[in-house]
Amino acid sequence: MADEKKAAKERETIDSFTDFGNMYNFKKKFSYSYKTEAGLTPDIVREISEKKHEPKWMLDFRLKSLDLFYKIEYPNWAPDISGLDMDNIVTYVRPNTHMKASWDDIPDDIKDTFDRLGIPEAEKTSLAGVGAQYDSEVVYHSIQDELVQQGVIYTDFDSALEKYEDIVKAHFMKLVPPTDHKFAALHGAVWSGGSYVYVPEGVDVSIPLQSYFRLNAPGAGQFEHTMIIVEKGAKVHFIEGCSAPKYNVANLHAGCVELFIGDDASLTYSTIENWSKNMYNLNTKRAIVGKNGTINWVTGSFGSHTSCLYPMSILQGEGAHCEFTGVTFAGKGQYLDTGSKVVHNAPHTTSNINSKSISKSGGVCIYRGSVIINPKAEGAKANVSCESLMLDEISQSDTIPAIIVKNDNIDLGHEAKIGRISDEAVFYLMSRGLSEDEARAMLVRGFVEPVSKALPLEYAVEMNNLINLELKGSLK
Amino acid sequence: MNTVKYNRLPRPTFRWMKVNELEIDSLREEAVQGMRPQERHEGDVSVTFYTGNRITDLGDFEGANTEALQQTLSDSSSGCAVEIGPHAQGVVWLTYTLTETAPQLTGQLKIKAGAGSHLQIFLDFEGGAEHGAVNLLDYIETEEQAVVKISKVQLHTQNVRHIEHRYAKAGEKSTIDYVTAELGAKTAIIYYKTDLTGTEAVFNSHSMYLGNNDQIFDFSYWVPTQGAATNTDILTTGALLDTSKKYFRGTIDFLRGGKKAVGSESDICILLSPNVHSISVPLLLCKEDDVVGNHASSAGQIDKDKLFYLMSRGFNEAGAQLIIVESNIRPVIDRLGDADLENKTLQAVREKMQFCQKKGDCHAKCTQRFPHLN
Repeated sequence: MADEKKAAKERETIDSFTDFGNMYNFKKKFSYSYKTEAGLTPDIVREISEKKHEPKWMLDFRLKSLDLFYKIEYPNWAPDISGLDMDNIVTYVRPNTHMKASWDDIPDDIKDTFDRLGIPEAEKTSLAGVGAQYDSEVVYHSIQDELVQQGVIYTDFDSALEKYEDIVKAHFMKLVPPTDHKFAALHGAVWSGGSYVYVPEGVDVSIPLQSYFRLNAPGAGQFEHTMIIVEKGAKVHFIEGCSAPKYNVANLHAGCVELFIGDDASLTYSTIENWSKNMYNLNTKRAIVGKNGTINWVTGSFGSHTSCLYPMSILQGEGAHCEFTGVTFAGKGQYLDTGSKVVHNAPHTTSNINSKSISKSGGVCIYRGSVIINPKAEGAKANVSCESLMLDEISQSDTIPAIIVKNDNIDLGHEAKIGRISDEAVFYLMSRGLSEDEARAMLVRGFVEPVSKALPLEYAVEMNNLINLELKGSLK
Repeated sequence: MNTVKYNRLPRPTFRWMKVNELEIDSLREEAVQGMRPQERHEGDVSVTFYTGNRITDLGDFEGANTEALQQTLSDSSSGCAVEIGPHAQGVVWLTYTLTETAPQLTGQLKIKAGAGSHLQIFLDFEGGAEHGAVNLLDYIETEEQAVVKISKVQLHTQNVRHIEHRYAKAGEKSTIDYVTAELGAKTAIIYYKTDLTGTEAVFNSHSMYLGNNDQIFDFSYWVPTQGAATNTDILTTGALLDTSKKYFRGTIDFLRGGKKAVGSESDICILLSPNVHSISVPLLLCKEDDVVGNHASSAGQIDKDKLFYLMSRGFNEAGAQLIIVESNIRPVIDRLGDADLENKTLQAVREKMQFCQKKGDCHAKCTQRFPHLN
């Protein structure tokens, strides 16, 4: 009986993820308590810092970053972002509420947004903590008491800056310095919102934490900062979700994720990204991993107009390990330039990159990756596998990996494949009674199975449904 | 010292990795002497020598470096035209030797193959000089069903910069086949661009290298596949010793319309010293769905199990290493197709592996010891 109830509950949860036609692309009236003018000036940066009552060092940091943003050139290899005019982007929009610890205290329009995204329901069934950001600020944050008692901290980034200023100051944009690239500098100047997670030594957070980022304001930017510190021997799974309704003006997402993983610690960082097709997603994610630590990236990229996203793992401690499993799906009008970067800096470090991409209806998928094995990484092992599927003749799929090996005692393998769905496989499935569309959809789902397998059930279902939605009418 | 950039990637990637091109010091220019290679040929083939420029149809080909390419067009002092008529067969041997009196070569090699012809060209580069340099433009044009195979052995001394710009246009059902052994020179820079415009055109390139000291080998390929059912096969394999470096930049560019094209590129590198650098950037660009593209690269030390097995059979470590390295590069050497060039290459390999200390009788000794390798 208990099993039946559990199964029914699971079914309900799964069903709650199935109405994808309306799930992401619904708009709420644009309301806010405060917003800056469009554009980017030192005054706007000062205004953001003042509204947040930040310490002076943070304001100085923002202004220096802004200076760098003006100076650093956009790279010649990156996608065209001429449709993005920073003069038209509003960098800070404060919603009509402060952060709450109960969904009941949140204004109806915002609560309804997250209800439709399934966040409160998921919190009840499968999450140990939830953060929800609406435009530029976090509106909801919660964590299970049991974890609090074990010393786990999961809070919004503004609160972290206030309560744990020394720790934040010691880590903030140290892994991704504003000098890294133009949009890291922009992030340093106008960041707002995001999550802070601290897992003390030896604590195993067995149920995932999730932060969800929703951008509702047209013509705005979202610049959340996520920092996760996992101490020695600790373990945690963090899930990040993001979406926005579609507008006729460009929106910008330039978030930053910094992950500090201690010795023997483990972090799984999962992302299901479904930004709207007017979004420029220029995000930066980086992890540094200590001795025998593990970073496990699981990434599904479906949305945005243009994406540049290459999660980077710096394997700093002996025996550190990185696992990257990602799928990118580009449809009409999308240019998704994604991949992974790994730097082996210590002996016996290992990495395994497994990337899949699907392009259809003129969409462009680029896999861009790098593996660097430095002289100190004696006995390092790296494996890279990229597979690309083209669903029609008007799409594009490119694979651009770069591998640098600087010592002899290593083992490196790399392989990539590009092609379309095998006619033989379709024929086989059709001979078993499936229609052609069903056969092709099944092959596409099988193609991305390594990614969905790595996700918790609800998110795997969400991803498969996203794929179904994207495939609708495109498999001919 | 000014620097020069060579072998730029057609689609650049992250700047901080410094893999988008090779940047090295510019070379001191010596007065270029007119140099006629030693030549012999067999079959129904015409070989003529010329000065000045006879290559005009390069399209947007930029070569390894636009200035260096321009030099081969405007300052060529050693032009060689090889032409073969329809359905004819021919073999040509060309030997370019650098000396202290002729330390630098700027030249052209123009090859034109008529329909259904079969042409084999052997290129032998040897000798050297202080500030030695080779800057050679190869231009190949094949008509329907022609087969052109170029086998090259480069054994310059390690004070030479060797640059070769290789441009080819492959007609319908024609085959362009390069087999290359790069062992000499301080820096060897080879840039290939092959336009597979014709239906069922084939491009094969098999290259081997063995680096020691501070040698740099830079192989760059760009193969746009416009024709239907084309086939591209690129293999670069070799080993690195001391502080030598290898760059592999391969780009198979499946253009829209080039249906049923098949392309693969492989880069295999055995790392024999702790300070070597192996850089691999194998690109697949795809605008056509009905194609199959693969690439693979691997790098690592000699497999210890293989080494142990050979040593348990009585070989010392150096001998066992030599056998394993040779087994890796031998398939390319065997494809050269000329016994003298193959032996010369094998001898150079064995000398570099320092298995034989005495230059000259190395080959005889190795042959005696490893008859099965011969």
